[in-house]
Amino acid sequence: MLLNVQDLHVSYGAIRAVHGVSFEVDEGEIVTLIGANGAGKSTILNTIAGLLSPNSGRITYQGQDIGGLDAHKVVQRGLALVPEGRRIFGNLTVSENLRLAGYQLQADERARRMKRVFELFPRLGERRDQLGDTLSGGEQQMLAVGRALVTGGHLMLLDEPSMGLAPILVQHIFSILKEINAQGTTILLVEQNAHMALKIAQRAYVLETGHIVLSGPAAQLASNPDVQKAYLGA
Amino acid sequence: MSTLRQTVSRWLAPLRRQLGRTPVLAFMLAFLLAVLLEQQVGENFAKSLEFRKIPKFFGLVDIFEPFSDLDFSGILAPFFPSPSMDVETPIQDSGAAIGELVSTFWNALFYQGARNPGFFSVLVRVLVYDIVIFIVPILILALLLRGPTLWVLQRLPRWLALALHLGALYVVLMLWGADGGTRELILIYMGINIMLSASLNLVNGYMGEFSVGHAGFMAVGAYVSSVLTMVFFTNSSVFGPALLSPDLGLPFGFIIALLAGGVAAALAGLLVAFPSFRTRGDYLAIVTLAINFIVTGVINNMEVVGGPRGLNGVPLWTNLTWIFLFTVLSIAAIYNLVNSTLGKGIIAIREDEIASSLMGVNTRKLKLVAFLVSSFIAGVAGGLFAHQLAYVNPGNFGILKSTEALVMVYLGGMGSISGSIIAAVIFTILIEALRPLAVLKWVVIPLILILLMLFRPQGLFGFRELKLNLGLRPKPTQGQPTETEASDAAAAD
Repeated sequence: MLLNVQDLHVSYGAIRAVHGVSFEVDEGEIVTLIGANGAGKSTILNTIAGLLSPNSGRITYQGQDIGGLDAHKVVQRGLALVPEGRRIFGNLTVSENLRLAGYQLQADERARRMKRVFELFPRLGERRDQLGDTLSGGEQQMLAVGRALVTGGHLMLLDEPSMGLAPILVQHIFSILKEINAQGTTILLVEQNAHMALKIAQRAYVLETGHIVLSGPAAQLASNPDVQKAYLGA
Repeated sequence: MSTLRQTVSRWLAPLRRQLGRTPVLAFMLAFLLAVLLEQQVGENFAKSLEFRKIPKFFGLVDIFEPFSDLDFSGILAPFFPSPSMDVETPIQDSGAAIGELVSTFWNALFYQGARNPGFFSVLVRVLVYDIVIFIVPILILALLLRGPTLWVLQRLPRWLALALHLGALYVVLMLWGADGGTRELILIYMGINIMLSASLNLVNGYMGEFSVGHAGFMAVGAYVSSVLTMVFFTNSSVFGPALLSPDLGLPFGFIIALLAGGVAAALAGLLVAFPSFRTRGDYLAIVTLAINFIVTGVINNMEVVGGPRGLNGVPLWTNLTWIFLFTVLSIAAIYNLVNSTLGKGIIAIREDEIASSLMGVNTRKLKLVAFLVSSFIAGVAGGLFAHQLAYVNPGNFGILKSTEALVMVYLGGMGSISGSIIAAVIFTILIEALRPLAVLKWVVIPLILILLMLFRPQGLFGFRELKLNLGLRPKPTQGQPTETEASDAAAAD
């Protein structure tokens, strides 16, 4: 088991966003958390990444407790979050963005990883000297994923990678996520676009108002009448 | 109009191209020779231009002198008469004052006379003086010296070439600037202002926070270093005879006192650094403002150091050499910091704090580093300032001083060390040149700032660095931009 979350509780001041969520991610999997707005999906990812600290519960990664660690320490363990809204550095160029992503790396290792990103996303290579703000939405999402690859995720956490993208671009991004996964990166994906998420994931959890209400193999959930009704618009 | 400009620029194009290929060192040496020329013939030439003596600071300080008689107080005074004043109709009196002001202004512009030359007369003569003594000789000599300096520079190792630049700069400053008068004073303030603006730029420009209380740190450094030098190395009326021998004061005592002042200021910087972990932007700006007031408030209430009356008898130790030394060291430190990996992290915090922490940037550590370094340098600058004035007073370090530092940072451009340096130079000269305008100075300078924000909001060099032609051998590693001297400029990577 790569990542194990046990009975996680998170709140923003008095507002409790996540209460008692448990799930796990195995080595090499693509796991998705789906759910509506406000279900607590992003809160869970941000807590794992160290941007928020849990009220209670355990988060273990490769058997070690990472709950409550600062974000920059979580990164050192090999988790990389692609945050909601991409958060790329708009005033910096594509390659500067990627170079910063390898902030903790030696120069040669960083160069190796950047090269891999440019191979996965040739578009980014073409635009390496362009400012982040001048990229299209899809390119920005590619850059956000590319940054996480450079930062060095053994486990990549993605928060709504499909947000604000045209369907064709969503398909492109998801096919690359599959490729990244095939090359050995485990993926935990949070999505509102349940349709796409269930297509590439092996397993899925359904969140409602801070609780997990359903879980199982993605294909099985996709054919579940309740899920279809609530999330797949069937 | 445009054809005229084109003609002129076509005329000047070859000259500009030639000068562009001329290394900075050649200009420095040319300036050095021009200074020698001024020492030989400057006095007589100035007299033949009807100056009483050599124009101060290239005449920049002289140009606004004719306006020193302007009196603005007469306009509003009739509306708020003091008991002793006899005012019948304020509007009329005020009108008369305006009339007088206009005529004074007119005279200041045009009046010809040996004692009170008009503005235009001074301007023309200053221009003639500068062109004949400085501009033309420097251009000619720089072009002549281009070949030899390039030849030498290309054969020296980089560190030696850089040291040569610093050495030349120092010689120029000492030979021209150390006159014990106006020039030296202006250059000393210039150095202090460079340290202030560059250190504030680290926080405001590179890290993207908005610190508005920089003078507070300066105050801490000024007071701590002054008290140390007075207690240990000076026989003063405030603290009695020196605890150690006054002979030890220079240079060691002064260095230690300045550094101690810097450390104390850095500790005060912690008061900003810790809140910055939890808050940022406008809220952190209010914290920095509060700390400025806390510092001056505490000093105001410390009778040991004279409270609001200030501290008298600080030894007059600051001179051009000290200023040069600490300015160069500060700039080198900031330059190396922002170009290091840590510096990249600091820039990442400016761009997006959350994203940077997701990439492994330890945002707390870097904020600590930035605030500590910034307030340390401000503290050292404060120490130098105190030992230049021989007198410190909490009023010197109020919000106005902080504002001056902010003006320099935004004039020069955020995230640009060369911008901060140039802005500090311009601002210092401006302050001195506009001194005759008295109150009006604080109308003209903000006006310049407003115009700047309207037409060039990024400042002179926002997020870019001035690239100087240092004539150095390119670095052996490929793909590097032209390397430049630490104290002058560098490629903004």
